[in-house]
Amino acid sequence: MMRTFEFPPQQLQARERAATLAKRSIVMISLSGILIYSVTGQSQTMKTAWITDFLSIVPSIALLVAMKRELKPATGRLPYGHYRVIAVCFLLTAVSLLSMGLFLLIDAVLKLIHGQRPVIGGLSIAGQMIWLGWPMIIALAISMFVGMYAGKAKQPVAKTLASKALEADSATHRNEYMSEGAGIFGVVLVAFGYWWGDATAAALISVQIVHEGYNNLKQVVADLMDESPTVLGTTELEPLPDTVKHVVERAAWVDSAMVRLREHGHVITGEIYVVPRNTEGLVSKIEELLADLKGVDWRLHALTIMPVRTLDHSKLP
Amino acid sequence: MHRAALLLILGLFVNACGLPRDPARTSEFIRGAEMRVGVVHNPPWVIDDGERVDGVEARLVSSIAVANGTRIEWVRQPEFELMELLLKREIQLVIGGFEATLPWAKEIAFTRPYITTPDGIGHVLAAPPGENAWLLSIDKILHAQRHSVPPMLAELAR
Repeated sequence: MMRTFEFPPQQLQARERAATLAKRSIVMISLSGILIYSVTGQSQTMKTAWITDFLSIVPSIALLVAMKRELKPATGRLPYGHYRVIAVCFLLTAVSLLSMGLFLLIDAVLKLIHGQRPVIGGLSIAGQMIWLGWPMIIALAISMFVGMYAGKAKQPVAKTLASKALEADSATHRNEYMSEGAGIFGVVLVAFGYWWGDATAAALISVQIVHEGYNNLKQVVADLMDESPTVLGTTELEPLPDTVKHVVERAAWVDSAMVRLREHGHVITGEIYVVPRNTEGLVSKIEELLADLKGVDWRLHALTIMPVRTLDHSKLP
Repeated sequence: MHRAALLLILGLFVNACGLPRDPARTSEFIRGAEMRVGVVHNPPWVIDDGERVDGVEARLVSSIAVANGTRIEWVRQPEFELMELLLKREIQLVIGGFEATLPWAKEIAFTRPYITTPDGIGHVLAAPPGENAWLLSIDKILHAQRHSVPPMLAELAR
């Protein structure tokens, strides 16, 4: 069976930190979600806010589950290992973001069409009756800061692990300021008598969620279709296949080479087709080359080097 | 956390600056003029004999009228008609001993419960949805009057 991938020490540390941050955000965001829920009243903005708060926990839970499974050894049933469980979890979170965003958007637009006016009355706190809108704004502000903290903390860890799933998680949190900001603005509009402010803010927040969900979905679908590795957080292709090709072609016995790589969760695997100058001691040469390639990028794992007569695949069986 | 505290303080200041406002200016509309109140007979909350309206909620409505310097005009219609009028803001309140858990809560505005009976049911008044300044002013008056409700209830339930 294939050797299980080993994360280098820096990345092992980063994984621990990612797990800690994931647990921490689950707790903090749940608390702020409950806080928002308790002052929701009949406001569409608040409803959108607490639902999206709990939604933003889904990536963290998915990541914790995935990280437990990804290093399980390969089996007869799963000869390529469990690395792709990361992409599966990524897919789940993208789909949940997208579908929830669509639902909230339709809900908010329907409220606007039907002219439903938000009811925000009084709340008794410490013996005083105050307008519920103020605690709503405070709850939204707290949620905003919790989100910003979680997002900022996760960002460098995502970079160290070159993890798309964690980067998407971090980006979702960092965008909280836009969501909660719009929510606060919505409640303020209602305060000034513009009843449509609430549903409009909720609709705008939902559009943003749909957008995020869609982008994440595009990314993970490409991943699952074995797209060549892309730079974290963008759709730009990484130069890694070319780098590997150059290292391979530097070997004396190699005439020319063709490289294709794909992401398997946190690791990168693939095939290298080489045209050898001669076939003496080919097996040892291939082993040596594989050992050399280890230093190119920590994510490379279980590469296949295949000697061929020509790189023109139309001439091969 | 500092920002949250600042917002709270800001909120307390702004509270004095006339926020929130009614989109349809209900509070301004009734002040010094008249307040149209829908009634649904439901003793001891609303006791309607065709002429005078008494009951726990009728008395609370009197307090509201006094606080706003306004006359009361009682409107008698079937309950669902009253709710329609409320939605259209043609009346400003409906009383009927409503329970806080009624499905009307989705369509119109309920005040905070002015009392919770021993069986755990909160009783509320009904106001037009979206007229938040009006609703808040009612909530404040009900809150101020809360200690007078149990004696009233005891007296009228006999």
